[in-house]
Amino acid sequence: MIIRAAAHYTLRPGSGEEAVVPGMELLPKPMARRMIAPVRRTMACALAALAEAGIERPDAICYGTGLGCLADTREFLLEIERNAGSLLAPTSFMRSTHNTVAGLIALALKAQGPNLTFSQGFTSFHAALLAALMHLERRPGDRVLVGASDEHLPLLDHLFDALHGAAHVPAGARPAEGAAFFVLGGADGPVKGRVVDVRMGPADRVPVRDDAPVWTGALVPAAANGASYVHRTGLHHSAPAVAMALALADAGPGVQLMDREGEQHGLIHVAR
Amino acid sequence: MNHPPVAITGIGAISALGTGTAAQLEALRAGRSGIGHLTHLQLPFPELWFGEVKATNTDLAALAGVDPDRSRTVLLGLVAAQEALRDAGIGADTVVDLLSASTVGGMDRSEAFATGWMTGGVDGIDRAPGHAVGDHALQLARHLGLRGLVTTLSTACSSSANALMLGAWLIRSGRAEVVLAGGTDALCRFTTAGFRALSAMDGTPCRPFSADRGGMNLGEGAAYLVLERADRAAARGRTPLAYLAGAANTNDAHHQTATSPDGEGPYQAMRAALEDAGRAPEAVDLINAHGTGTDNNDGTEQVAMERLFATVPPFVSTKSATGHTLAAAGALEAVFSVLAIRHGVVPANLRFTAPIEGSRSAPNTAPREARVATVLSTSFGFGGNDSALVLTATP
Repeated sequence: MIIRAAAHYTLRPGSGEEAVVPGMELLPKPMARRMIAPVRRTMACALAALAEAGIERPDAICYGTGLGCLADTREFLLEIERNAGSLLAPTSFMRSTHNTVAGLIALALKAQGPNLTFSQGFTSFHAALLAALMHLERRPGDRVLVGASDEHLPLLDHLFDALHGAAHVPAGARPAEGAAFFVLGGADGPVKGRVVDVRMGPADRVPVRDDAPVWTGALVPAAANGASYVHRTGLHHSAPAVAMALALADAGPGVQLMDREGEQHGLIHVAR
Repeated sequence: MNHPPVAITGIGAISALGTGTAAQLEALRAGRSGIGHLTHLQLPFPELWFGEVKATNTDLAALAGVDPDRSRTVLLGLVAAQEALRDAGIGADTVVDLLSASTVGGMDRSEAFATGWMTGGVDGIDRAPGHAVGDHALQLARHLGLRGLVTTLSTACSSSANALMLGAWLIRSGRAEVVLAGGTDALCRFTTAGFRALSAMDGTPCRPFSADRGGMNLGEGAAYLVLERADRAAARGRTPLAYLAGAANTNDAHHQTATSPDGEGPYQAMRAALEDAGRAPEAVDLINAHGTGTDNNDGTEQVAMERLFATVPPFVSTKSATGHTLAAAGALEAVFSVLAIRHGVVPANLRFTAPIEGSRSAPNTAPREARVATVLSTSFGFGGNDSALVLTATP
């Protein structure tokens, strides 16, 4: 499946690095004011991908997130604790559902086609990409916005330190924020690369090919013909999407991105 | 229709109406309500009305054959999913893909501790990994011995309708032969406080599609359906219970939590699902409506139905009996649709008082027997998310 455009960013809290978020200038100001910062950055990234593809409105939106709208979920939990027994402010609750971002993109663009949100840890983006491929098989002329994003809260650093058992996380990798969006399909437009294959399932159902290097995510040991990408994407559940954007930017015939969540493996084979 | 038909060969459900599909059918036939005050869950809302599953976590764990030390979302899901696989005669020799749906996931177990973690506390921190909404699906797959793809749809109140749609896509595209699709959500403090903050809760048992409706009652439950390529079901000698003939998802793109006055998103979802099924609106015998009981939903949903149908077929909100089970609702109501088709029963929209002003249709108010060959089942959610399923007696 043809990839028309790609945009991504990573924000590593406490690293001193400046996050380069594409598309911030594309955000309508009234909308931007109403959004919390990570959602604003995610929206900008989605708009950047659409602008690169030269389209105003995708025919479908397929989105993945590992932990959803963390900041708003946190805010509503605090609101319950602060004001138990009295009337609570509903805003953070309304924005706490996992499909908030995909819904906001639809709202901003008047995109009335299918709008799907998947959440399965480090394989959330894989499901979104698979759904996009299936949509395009049904409607080959459509253009689908597919992407993933995850927020960062200091809470994640605390949980990471308290529970850290992920043996393959490269030394020094810390919880981070990040997003990547792509435009797939369509009869014409720029060509950024293509998705060769997406596989999900237990390891025996996700075969790795010998003819392309393997980049691995946080819970997968580095392969002989590849490397871990976590130091480039940051440690968050949307890292596989960011890794796909990085793979598209790299020279070479193709990259296999291998990730895992529990017993579930996810493989994305992407080529320029 | 140029794709292989998707057969439904097994169903499983648990809700305020009882445990198992036989209990659901008995309650639908009798027009019985499962709405009441909480009797089994310890939540600080004694005055509110709920569709609570009448079982403790220990009861549910015993039913599911697992240790109770896990989210109620998982326990409910296991009970329903085990029934669906048993009903379909699917054993461990079959590779089954799981498309599950949830909105709260492990929130019922993490919400009491999460604010402590925010300030560096570690009490209950072993519950954190189970908090993520997708974790319930991995637990289901593990305990059910599934060996296929596992993923979680989380599109608020349309989640499990979308899981069923994706299941149909997986089978039609040839990527899967057997899919277990559905959803599960437990009652918890977070969602109850949230819908109460939105003033979306009726202070009495809910009255969907009534002029004087006062909001929803929150419910809980789980439902799963086994989807299978029809020729595969035939080859192993199974007669399908029904078919998932069509499905569609659209976005209203109007407001984060409210539907547009003309019901455009719901209208397009219903229209596209019928088109996907190759059925004309006139073929629909029953609409299992989303019908939450809120002012906005029921009003706009009825506008959408009246736009699509010259004569609106019998329609009901079974949420008047189960409460709104959030991510489980689409699958639970798909199970009700299958029961309607199999057993020729049109369920009741309970407590209906008077038609919504300006409407030219009204829900079916008492359970009755009728031939039901085609059901349209709708689920709408936050984020403008609108889904519709078409369930049929024949492919």
